[in-house]
Amino acid sequence: MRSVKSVYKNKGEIMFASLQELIKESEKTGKSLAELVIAAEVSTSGLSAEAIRAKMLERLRTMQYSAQQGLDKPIKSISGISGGSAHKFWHWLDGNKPVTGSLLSKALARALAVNEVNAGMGCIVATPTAGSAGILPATLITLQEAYEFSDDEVVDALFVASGIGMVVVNRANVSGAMGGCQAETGSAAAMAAGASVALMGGNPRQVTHAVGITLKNMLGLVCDPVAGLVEVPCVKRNAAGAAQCFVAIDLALAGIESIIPPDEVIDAMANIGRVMHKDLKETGLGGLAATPTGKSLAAKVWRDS
Amino acid sequence: MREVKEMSAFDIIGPIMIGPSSSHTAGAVFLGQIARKILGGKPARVEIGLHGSFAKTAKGHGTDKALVGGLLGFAANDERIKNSFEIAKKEGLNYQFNTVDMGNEAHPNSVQFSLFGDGRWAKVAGASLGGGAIEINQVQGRQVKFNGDYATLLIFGKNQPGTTNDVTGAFVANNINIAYLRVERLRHHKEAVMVFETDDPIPERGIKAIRALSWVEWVCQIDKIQR
Repeated sequence: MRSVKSVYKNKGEIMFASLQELIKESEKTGKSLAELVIAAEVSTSGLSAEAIRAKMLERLRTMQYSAQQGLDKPIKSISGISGGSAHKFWHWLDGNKPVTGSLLSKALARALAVNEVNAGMGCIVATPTAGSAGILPATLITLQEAYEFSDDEVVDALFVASGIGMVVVNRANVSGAMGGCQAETGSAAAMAAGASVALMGGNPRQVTHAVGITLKNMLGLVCDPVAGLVEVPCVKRNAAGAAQCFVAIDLALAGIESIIPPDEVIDAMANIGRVMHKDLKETGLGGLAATPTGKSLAAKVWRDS
Repeated sequence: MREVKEMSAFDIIGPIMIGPSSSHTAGAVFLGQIARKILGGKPARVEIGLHGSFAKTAKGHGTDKALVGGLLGFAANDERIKNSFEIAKKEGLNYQFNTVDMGNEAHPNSVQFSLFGDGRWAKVAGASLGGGAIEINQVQGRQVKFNGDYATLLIFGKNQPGTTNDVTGAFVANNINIAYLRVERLRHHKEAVMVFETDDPIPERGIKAIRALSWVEWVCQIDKIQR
């Protein structure tokens, strides 16, 4: 996402400084989390709520389109080092009984699909980044299909995801270069888990605990892309992020809470990002990128450049 | 009061963009769009110098196709970007990529363009800062600084008293709100470089009035980046 300027907000304005603030504001005003985020957007953008919802619907349409594109045909990345797994997996699901069940398996396929479309220079929505763009669409579209939610309900869930993302950006960051993969796919999965719990009818407190549980389970994940490209391991990490999200959705809906408060989990993510070695923060120097195969793939990509 | 970051819900869910990377692809499209706009028309020939990470991973990230897509005037979510090389050939846009060293101070994702077309030329340099944010730092050999988040008016001319006053009249007349303004003197105080960043663009008649001012040598208005 774009770099942001710091501003001072007046008392009474929603600051997205903590998840706790969102819960309190929701309890105080009786508004849903989606309504709070939309109201804040109305006040900062000057646009009407209808215009803002229409803008989000346009993003949902792009997400639906990109997920379908990646399933319909095999998509090869422009570097040529990866691709085609979403299509392969989708077809394998036909006639096989996946251990991940009918719901999660479809989410895995869609997460792979969106990220392969991204690596193949297709059109995606960065949520919050291009490298983590598969998780939120995969989760929400799969739940929409299974539980027959309307586009309007999913648009509401996307605003909940935005609100969570804004808190993460205020307390930590969503950049692999600053915080490792935990900051990218971790934040994306946390946003998707919270948004999904809201979509499934969970209360704001449950939403925040879905965020906390997801992020907890992804702490420490490094950003070690082969050749510095958004492909290996990013595509499969999006599938893994969707799976983490599913774990947290059901736990949170059952009323299970993160013992460490969700805001503190976000702070822990920021601190871990700070001490993480730079070789493991999107530089393509450590981890998988530094394996013999990672290095030879990189050499091939750079030779062709 | 408490300090927080100024964000929109659409900074988190967005932009809608052609992948794979907001810094190496979407940002590159924006840089190409601005270079085209500064030339003031369709380029016939463009030399594109890539620096640092842009030079190293251009092909893998599609940075090269994204830059040419921007030069063709495509938006960051235009699916034609993937085929921008073929489209450029059809439209008569000749491009050439080189590796350049813009120095240690330059951002790793930097690019410089030399554009020619319709009897005009332009030189533009800038960088993609991450997440689709960009910065233009050189135009026609002058140091400038703007990020494309506002309508931007560049004025190069003689450095003499009253110039800012001459120009702001055009803003008042068209009811345009100025967000940022920078004025710098260059070349032994002989030349002034003005960068106005405004909420709305000045209509063409306003630009004409500024261009007609005796001390003004070069004017260019660049649209706000469509994210």
